[in-house]
Amino acid sequence: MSDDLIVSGGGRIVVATDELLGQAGALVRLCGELDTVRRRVQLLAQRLTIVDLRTADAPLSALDAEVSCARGLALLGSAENHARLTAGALHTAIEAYGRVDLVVTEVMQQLSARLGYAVGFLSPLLVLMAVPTMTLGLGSVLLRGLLSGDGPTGGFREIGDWLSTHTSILTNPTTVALVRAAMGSSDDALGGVLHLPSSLVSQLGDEGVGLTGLGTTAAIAVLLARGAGMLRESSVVIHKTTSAITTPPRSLAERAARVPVAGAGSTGEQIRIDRYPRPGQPDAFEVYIAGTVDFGPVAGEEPWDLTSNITGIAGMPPGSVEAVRAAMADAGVTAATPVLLTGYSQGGLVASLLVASGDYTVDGVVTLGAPAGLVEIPPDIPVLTVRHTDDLVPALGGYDVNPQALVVERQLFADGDIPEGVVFPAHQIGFYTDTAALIDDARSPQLRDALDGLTAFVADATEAETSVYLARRTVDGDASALVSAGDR
Amino acid sequence: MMGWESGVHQQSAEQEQLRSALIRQRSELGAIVYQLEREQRLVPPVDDVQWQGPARGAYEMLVDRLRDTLAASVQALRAAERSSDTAIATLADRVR
Repeated sequence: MSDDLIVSGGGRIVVATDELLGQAGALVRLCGELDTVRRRVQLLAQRLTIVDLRTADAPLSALDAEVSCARGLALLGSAENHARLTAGALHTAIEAYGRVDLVVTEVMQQLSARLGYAVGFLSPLLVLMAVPTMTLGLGSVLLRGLLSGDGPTGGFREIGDWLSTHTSILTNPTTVALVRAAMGSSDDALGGVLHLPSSLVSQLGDEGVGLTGLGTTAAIAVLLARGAGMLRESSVVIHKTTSAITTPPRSLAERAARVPVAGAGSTGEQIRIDRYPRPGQPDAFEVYIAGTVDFGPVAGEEPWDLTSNITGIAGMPPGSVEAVRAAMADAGVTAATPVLLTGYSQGGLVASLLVASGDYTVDGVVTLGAPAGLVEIPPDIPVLTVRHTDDLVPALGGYDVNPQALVVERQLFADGDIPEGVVFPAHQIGFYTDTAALIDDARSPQLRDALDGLTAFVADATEAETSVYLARRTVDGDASALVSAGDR
Repeated sequence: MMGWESGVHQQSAEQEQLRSALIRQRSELGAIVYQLEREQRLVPPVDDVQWQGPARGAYEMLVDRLRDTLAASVQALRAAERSSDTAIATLADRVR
């Protein structure tokens, strides 16, 4: 498992490992320190000059001391110059790499947009060509399921099983990059399907004025799916299940560990809110939001579902966002209280959507493996985006649109030792907590600044009032025996 | 006779003054060397860099040169410290 962290963004054209950025930072510090030392030696040398020593009939060793001092001074000046030169060269190399990376990303975005348009344009023909192959494939999957005695869906289950034992296909940085490109060009493909002029599609899309994008495609998908009874949003209710006095987090890893795990084997709560009382000032709050629980296309009771995911990507208000809003209101968060949000997977998307709404005074947002790249966040709000380059889920959110977002990437399974039995092993919250711990130990000034901002948020807090919430959809108006926070 | 005596006294005072200045210099040099030795740790270890090609070679060369120059300046200042020590001892003998 690789421990290398790649740091990019943060409002600068820089892409480098944390190690390299740490070295650049250390060299800049060294320049400053050497300057101070050189000035001290210079003052020392001025105090006792060789002429003074000769006049005072000083021993030869005193003259030797002054000669060595002068030599040390010259060497210090030279070391300072070397340090400046080395720091400058390293910064130039890092920025040059960043520029190349930016150009490659832009070219890839444009190429994938054109490819997407062509695929969309030719889709009727492609579908026609693919019908025999798809029919054969579908038929063999159904037949295999029937022959094995598992029924018609058995074949699909086998596909799932096959994917979970062949995780290297989905857990691959190339696959992830292709998926990100495909998501980024989905609006172009749609333009192609509708046979709109390609110049109009690219002018309206991400490469142009940005009026259309992945959100447009997702919105159309949501509207079409709703017609078929899928991806239907509903109202939600929340219920506070736990109240406790805890301590504020002291690291990013502690924050990652506080994100509720709402899946199987848990009690299902998706939201945790920590309130920090601050005498004489408005209370400060930290909100932790869980990842997707239910991947089914038809909404059930669970608001942390596929419906919320796609609705959120479409830029429409998903049930999970409404649930967190209700929980925040219940916990005492107002438009004036400082808030810091941390979300994993869908939780990161929800956190980003809440920040983008402009309804809260947000001091920062941390996303872990979230498909939230295209959610536009006001440029004055610090964003720390953590993702694994072999995790497919964040790629579903397309390319990053927030230049101020500090993006930390880690290729989790660079050694190829991918665990089997899980479809998206690089998306597991446990691995994101491990990555957060590596970030805590990072040396690069960019990451240290970001972490200092998080630490400063809880600097005065000694204890936290923790509230944990469970949210449920009200299917067909039934609150499923849950008590809405507003009703209590 | 009085003039000779006062001349000896004046010389002795000057030597004592010089000795005090050298003691201060030695102490200051000790502090500077300590600080420099600590700062040598800021020079990055090139082995840790996950980076290949000519740019790495150039960076490695610059870092090596920096490390060598810094080590040489520490050595020069240590030599100044040692020479100051010797001068202080010589002056102490003269004053006695």
